[in-house]
Amino acid sequence: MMLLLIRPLTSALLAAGVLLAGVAAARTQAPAPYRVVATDATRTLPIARLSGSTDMVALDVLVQFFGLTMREDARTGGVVVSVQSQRVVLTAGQATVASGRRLMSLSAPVVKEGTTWLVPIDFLRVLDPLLGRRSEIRRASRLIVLGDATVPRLTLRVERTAAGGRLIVGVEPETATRVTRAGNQVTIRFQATALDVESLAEAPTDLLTAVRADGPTLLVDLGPTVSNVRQDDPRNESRVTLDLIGEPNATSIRRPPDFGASLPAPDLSNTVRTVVLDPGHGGSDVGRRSQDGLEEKSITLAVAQRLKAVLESRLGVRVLLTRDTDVEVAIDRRAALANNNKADVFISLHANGSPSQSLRGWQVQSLDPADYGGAPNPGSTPETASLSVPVVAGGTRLITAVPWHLAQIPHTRQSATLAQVMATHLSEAGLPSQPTPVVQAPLRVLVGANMPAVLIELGLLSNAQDAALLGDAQFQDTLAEILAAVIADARSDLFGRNR
Amino acid sequence: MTPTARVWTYLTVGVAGAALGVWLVILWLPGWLVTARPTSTPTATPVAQVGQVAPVEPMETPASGAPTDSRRISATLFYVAPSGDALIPVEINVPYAAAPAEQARRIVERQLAAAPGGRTSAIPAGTTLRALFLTSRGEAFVDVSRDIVTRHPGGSLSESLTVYAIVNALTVNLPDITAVQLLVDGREVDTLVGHLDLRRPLGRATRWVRRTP
Repeated sequence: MMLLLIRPLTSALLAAGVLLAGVAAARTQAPAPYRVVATDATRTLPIARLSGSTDMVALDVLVQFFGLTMREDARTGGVVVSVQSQRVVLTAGQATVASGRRLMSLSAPVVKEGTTWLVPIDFLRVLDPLLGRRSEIRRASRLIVLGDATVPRLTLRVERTAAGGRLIVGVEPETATRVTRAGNQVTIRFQATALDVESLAEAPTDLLTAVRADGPTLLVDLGPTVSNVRQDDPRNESRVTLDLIGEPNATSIRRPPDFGASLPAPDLSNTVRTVVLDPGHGGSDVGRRSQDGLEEKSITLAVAQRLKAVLESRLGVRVLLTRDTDVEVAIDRRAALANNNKADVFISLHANGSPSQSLRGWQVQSLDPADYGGAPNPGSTPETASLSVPVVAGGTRLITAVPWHLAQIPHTRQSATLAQVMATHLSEAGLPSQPTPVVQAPLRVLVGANMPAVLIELGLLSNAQDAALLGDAQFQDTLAEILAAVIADARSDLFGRNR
Repeated sequence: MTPTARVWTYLTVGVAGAALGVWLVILWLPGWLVTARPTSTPTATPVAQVGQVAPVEPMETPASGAPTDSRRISATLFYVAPSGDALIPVEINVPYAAAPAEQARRIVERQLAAAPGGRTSAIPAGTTLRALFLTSRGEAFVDVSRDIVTRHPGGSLSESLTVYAIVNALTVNLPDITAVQLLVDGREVDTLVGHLDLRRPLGRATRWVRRTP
């Protein structure tokens, strides 16, 4: 059973502690196991360790898992795996295996550690023809689908509407569903063996308190403001759309029920609730390229997606990405997304490049107000104007209009603080920085952001070491962990006193 | 000689003398003044503003348009520091021009040209200067070819070095220029490669300059 979202928030300190401990443990911990789904049962396959970015599994575990036999061949120094009368021969240090008369290649060499043999997870594909079934490995969701089992991929999204909200479940491949409701819970039953659920993009707790998968059903716990649910376009098998209709007189948003956590719920009024992550570049704008052809746009997206997952699952923060696919996004639309969603923090993710191949390390940048006519006086912004607008009950009130192109100016001090917090965390994690770890510059993507905003250069693609790290999934996870700890920390540093 | 003829002679000599005087003042004197000035006080001086300066590297600079005037001034140009994260000032001789806009053009042309031996240019090779305008408010508009974008390797660091090599080359050498806006193929641009805000003129930024390589 997977609990996916909206755990009540624990204190910022505890979260930061857990995250930092997670960073330290990341290198030694075994990778997450795979869920192996077959038509008759769902089991767990442990992963011994990583080799590069390949999951390695102990051969004896695999043999037991599938009821095969293995024996070491002392003469050749290899190992033979037998399936009935067929044999597969593996040799330590070799990424090719002999299956009958065929040679098949693996994504990583077979390893012998002491008495244990380790094989890459894609060794399953070698066994497929011998076992007379197919297997599908979904590395990102730690899932292996065997034989005729069907495990549709679900992507969840919540939108706000005038009536309340809307839950949209993307289903791939198309699968028939049946939606029922009992009290505060909606059950979506899929004609499938199990479900492969991606994390929820946005989680307004007034609409939904939890979404979890249980076998082939998705259980949706409705939030306190939802009084009615209606399924939109029920025949659409590639998408389930639920309209969540609010109570007519629901004026205040109530806190979601506690999910068994014994810690007191934190005060949400002084905290980071929404974070907008901006993966730099995209589409035809590839950004910087490493010598091996690694592109900045794909690194920034990968780190942003990992960071989003960590922030949502551990801190319960609402996270929006300015792009979640490889598309070009206009520079003004990036800050606009943050402004329109009233984000509390905006982080633009980039990877750098230098004319010198030896230069390496991260750098955090924030906007330099000097390039826009200097820092503002407290309480005022340059070129701001007070507008008189009519209000519903009659009369008018004054609102302050911030010019779009200077929205960041009043926040530059907080942004510089955020940059410092980020730099401290990165240093403490032992990651090398550029000679100047924190700089201020006239950054185009930040100037329109009406909230504390920073740009982080994760490393230098012109440096071979940095480029190799940035392309490594495990390092991307480490970066995500560190940046998530920054958000946890920033809650107190950035917003504790000033808001 | 009759008295009338004598009067006419004096008149002719007087007019001829006055014409000669006017001719001398108008044509010859300014030329003499202009020749005398650069040898004594070069126009582009404030080398000291960048601090310690690398030794002068005499460079033959065949400036476009082949100025008839072969005089040169020493200007501080900016190249990539060996560390790769900053610019270093280098003294280079560039052709002299009397008009500020023309002098600015020659400095930028030299900055865009290949770097002197042992140095790395922060500006993509092949970038050319299309036009340069000065405003009465001390702003320079530098219009360069699209190569500065299409041949750019990317990254905010490389972009900053490119932009500030040009901005600093003008603001450091010509005190009348306080800010520089880059135009690409005659048009205003948001950024070169996605980072620095180029929608308004940028002032000199010494934070990108490393005094000791």
